[in-house]
Amino acid sequence: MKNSEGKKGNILDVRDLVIHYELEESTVRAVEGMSFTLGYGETLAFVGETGAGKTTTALGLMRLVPSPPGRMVGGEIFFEGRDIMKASGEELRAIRGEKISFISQDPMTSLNPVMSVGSQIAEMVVLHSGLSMRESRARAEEMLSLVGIRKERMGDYPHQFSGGMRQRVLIAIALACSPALLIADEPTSALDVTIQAQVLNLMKGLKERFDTSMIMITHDLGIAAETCDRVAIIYAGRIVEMADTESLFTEALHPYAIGLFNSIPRIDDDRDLLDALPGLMPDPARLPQGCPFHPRCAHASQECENSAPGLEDVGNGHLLACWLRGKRNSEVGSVAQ
Amino acid sequence: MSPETVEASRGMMGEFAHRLRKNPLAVFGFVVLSILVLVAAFAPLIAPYGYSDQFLEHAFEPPNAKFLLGTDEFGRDILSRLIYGARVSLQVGFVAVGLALSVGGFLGAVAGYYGGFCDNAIMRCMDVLLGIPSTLLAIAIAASLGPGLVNLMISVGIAQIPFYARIVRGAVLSVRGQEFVEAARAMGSGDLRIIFRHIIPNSMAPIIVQTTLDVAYAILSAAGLSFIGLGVQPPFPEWGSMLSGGRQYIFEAPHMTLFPGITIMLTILSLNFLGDGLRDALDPKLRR
Repeated sequence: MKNSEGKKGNILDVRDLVIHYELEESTVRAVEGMSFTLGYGETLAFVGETGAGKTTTALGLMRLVPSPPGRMVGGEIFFEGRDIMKASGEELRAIRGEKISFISQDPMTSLNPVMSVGSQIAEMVVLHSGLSMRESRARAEEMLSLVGIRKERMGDYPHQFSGGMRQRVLIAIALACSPALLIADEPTSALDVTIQAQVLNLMKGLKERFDTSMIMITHDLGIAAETCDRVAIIYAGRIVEMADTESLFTEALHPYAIGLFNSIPRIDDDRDLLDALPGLMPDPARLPQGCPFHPRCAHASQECENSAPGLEDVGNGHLLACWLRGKRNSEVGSVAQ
Repeated sequence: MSPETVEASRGMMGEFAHRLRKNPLAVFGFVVLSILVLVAAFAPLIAPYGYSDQFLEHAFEPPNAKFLLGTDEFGRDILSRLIYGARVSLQVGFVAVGLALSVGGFLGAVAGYYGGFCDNAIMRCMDVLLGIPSTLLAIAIAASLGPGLVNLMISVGIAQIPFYARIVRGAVLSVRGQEFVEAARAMGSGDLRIIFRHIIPNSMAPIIVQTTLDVAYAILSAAGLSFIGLGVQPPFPEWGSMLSGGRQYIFEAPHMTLFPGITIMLTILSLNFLGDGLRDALDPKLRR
């Protein structure tokens, strides 16, 4: 049952992943050269605005980007040492659900309305374990009680459950085969705040119990801080900054990350207007030349307009994609006050 | 069938049966059809005479105590012949629609699910079939296969295939894009499993309704084919051929055409009532 025991290194190693949506008139560059690693048992947050490419990246990891129009243009995805980009359809089906599980954002529509929840959990088990239907149902009952739903409700249908309960069912399905990697795509954004906390705690507990690595996609920095070991800030299909949660929250370096932190209301601060980032995220079909953030950046220079900075280590595993990295103390640091 | 599919259908069917019961016409249709099915099944026990027993001295008798619905030109009991005829008509109705549903449904599901070239290829073939009036198509097929019960079912069934392909394709298209299908794919389900476990069960409503309405249509076209001599061969009774046999004597012995006509009408009417009721019961937008 333990996934990471005795294993060192990375469960996931993504290099230069490029995913485009090729439309008739234009090409949407949803993911532009994404590289990151995920250690065994680690939780990584993808934080970014809507349309930044978070979900596309996650779908890409399972080769589930709808095609057409989506196309995995390039890159490598090493999952437990195997290149997913080169896997066959059959290998992919064996990986999906069993090794990599996905929790989607909307619990209202992600369950089949004409199948009882028990059957839906059991189906996942039957698909990957080779157990009989009876044994799979026993496993489903076990999973249901793990997520805090009475097993008497096995035969109930999705419409008989509330949003939070359905999200629990989705979690039960996702973890039924104890996957090595769980990808959660904004698992709480459709839930109200009190239920959010419950579901997050549940996921945290179960992740530790099953010893699963996790990618948590969110646009909520609070959720990232609470549940994740490392955080990747994503902007226009790229990681602009990635560091362990503590160092990112204490000293964010990228102007975009700093802007995000400044736009969060603080309880000890009395002000009428929040510091919003000026402008909007660029249209991914018409990305600007150079650094994609430069039109909104207060510190943009000629260099930023000419070429895009790569992701580089600025010390202690803190990765940053910004030309200003050498001058952070003198200029950008003052913005972070 | 695995235990959980039984469980699933009970949950859905329970709610659905409850809604259906509120519609008196649908209940009427259901009762008449149930009686017809029972009558067809137990025909030898119920029919007062055999279907080819001739009482030549009683030929052309109007309804009376001995022959409740009268007799035909050979003195055969019309009631008994209608009872045996129910076997043919119901068989043709259900088997032909079953054939159309399985073949047309499969083609439609494949076209809707995979889309693109596959969709175009299948649906254009269906369009060609649709271009031919379905009665003419059935006549053409029946004429080339030769008369007989099995050929009758096949020809009526084939003529119905394109309708099912269209309906199932539409239903599959509307379900295919939904998130739980994506979720099933993320679970590692293969295409067939997704189609049969997730998409088809979610697109049952229009299919069930079309099926009941089409059973009526199939019975009618089987009666039509028998009427022109391409269906079941004498002496076995078929409602359509009884109707056609009686038309020469329509003035002398109107009961010979009247009762088969009424039986066909009642059956079709019941199926239509039931079909309407099913549509209302299954469609939340039409619920009163």
